[in-house]
Amino acid sequence: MADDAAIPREDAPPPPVPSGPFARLIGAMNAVGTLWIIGLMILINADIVGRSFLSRPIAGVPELVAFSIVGIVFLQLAHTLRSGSMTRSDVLLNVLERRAPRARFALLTLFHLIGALLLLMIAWKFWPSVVGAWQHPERNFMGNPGFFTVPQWPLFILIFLGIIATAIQFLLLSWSDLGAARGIAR
Amino acid sequence: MSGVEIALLSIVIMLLLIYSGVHVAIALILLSFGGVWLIRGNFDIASNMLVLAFKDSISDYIFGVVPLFVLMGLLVAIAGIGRDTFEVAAQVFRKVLGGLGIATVAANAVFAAITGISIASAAVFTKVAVPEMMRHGYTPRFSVGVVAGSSVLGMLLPPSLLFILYGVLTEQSVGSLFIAGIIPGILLSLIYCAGIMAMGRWWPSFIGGGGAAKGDPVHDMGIGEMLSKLAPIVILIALVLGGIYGGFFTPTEAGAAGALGALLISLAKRRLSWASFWQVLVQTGHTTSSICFLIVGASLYSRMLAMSGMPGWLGSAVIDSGMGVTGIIIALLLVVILLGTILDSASILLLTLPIAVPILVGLQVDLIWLGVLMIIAVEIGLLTPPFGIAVFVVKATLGPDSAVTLNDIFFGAAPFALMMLLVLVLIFLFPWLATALV
Repeated sequence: MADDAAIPREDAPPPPVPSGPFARLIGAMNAVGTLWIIGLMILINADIVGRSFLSRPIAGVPELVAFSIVGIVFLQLAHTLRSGSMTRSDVLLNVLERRAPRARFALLTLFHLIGALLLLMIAWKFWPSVVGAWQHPERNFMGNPGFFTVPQWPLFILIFLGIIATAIQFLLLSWSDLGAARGIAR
Repeated sequence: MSGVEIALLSIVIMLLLIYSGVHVAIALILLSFGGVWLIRGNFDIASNMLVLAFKDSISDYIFGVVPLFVLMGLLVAIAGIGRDTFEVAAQVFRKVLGGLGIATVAANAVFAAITGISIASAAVFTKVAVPEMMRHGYTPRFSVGVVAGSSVLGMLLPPSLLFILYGVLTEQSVGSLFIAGIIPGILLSLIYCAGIMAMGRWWPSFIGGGGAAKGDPVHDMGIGEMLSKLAPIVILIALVLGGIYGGFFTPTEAGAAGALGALLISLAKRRLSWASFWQVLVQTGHTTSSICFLIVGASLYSRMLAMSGMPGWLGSAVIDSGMGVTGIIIALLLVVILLGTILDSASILLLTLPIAVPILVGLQVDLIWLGVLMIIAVEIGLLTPPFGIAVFVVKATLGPDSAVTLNDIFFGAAPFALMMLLVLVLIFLFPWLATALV
């Protein structure tokens, strides 16, 4: 049974980040996103069955799918980064690992810091949208009025939290890379 | 600086950053933001563009296909469907020259029809087919080469994650793209088989093999056993491809039905534990998250390019140069193949399509046909050094104890990369190969 369980890993093993409350938090966010994928699969299949055999389609499936995919992605983004599955090219990094490990960590410190600052800026600019969608749900929704609508504020909160969590994860990575770079210096 | 200069400069910096190891999505977002800020000279316009992209670029029904097809692909990998298919193919092609190699290609082609990620094919068949081929005296280089080479079928035969990405980036129907991949996928499989037979005849030192392993009791599967081993994969193919082709399902619905079907099959085969199911789900989530975050970055990048006026400038420059449509497409494919040596498939599509597509649309190029060409060109990059992800996956799956080196795998896969190039040329010369079924 296990020999076929070749789950492909797209990237290197997880970086050595100390676990703690934050790791548990993004682990929990990841788990919710994971269950949401199952929910999405069940929802679409229920719609197929309802539509084909019971003549009772489920209202608003396209909107719910669009809503779900954004929720899933941003709930899992920080954990994706932490587990090393976020797409990057490691050609140069692998060369540096052998030839100049300290330069590699210095570079990673910088790159992860850039990621953190960029996402923090986006979160800062994104916040007014969250407030606006919360205060005016009648203007901020997905779907067609009178048929099926879903408010946007829960989604915007998830996006906001996902951006913040990913930014913090970038900061933690940057911090641990800095430590590693200094460790090599000694 | 003019908009065009800013755009060109940001593309150069972007390539440098991506090559140095910045996460691809971060590089795309950062340079698009910087580019717009410079072009418009206004921080608020640039940052509002970022906010807008985070809100709307992946909020669409079509993106539901990503997690569902990834989930389906990982579930069939864990259910042992790849192994069953290979065993049947191995028996069917036992008497043929290079039979196990052909069996690997055939099993990969069938398996590709239910999985959309080449790395899943590469991982499964490294476990299943490589030991079997080496036991029968095939050379290690050929054994790993044929697995790496035929794993590209996973992305060419539908469902395919790369076609989904291409469809999203160029606003083409994902369903039509899936259908367009069928004939080229079958053609590539047939050319692989012919190539293996030819190498068996004229270059036997490369493939080795031939006789049965010593002391190996030949176990013949009856027709019934073979059918029962093939039944699950046939049902899934009928469900997914039949559903899309027959018009019953949108690609998203086909993904959901296929994922549920794969889940039920792996439960029925008792090959799914809670732990492995959870692992599959987490892996699905990470792949989805990583792909969709890339799409956010790509949509920002194309908005930045549109604002800079660079595609229009490049378009008229290219047309003035007198290259003609044919020349432009050849140049694009060459760039893609070259980028494939240093970047991963998704990044290449994200970087090249927003520049190329506006130009090609103006010249009335069939974007479905172009999609098939692009995917094959990108996939050649899976097999070429120094960065060939299919080769890396084969190496990683073999484990640290294996004597097979990365160089061996690249060498073994080289004939298959050449055969892909041949198919690329054929589809370029005969576009109906891609468009006949659409």
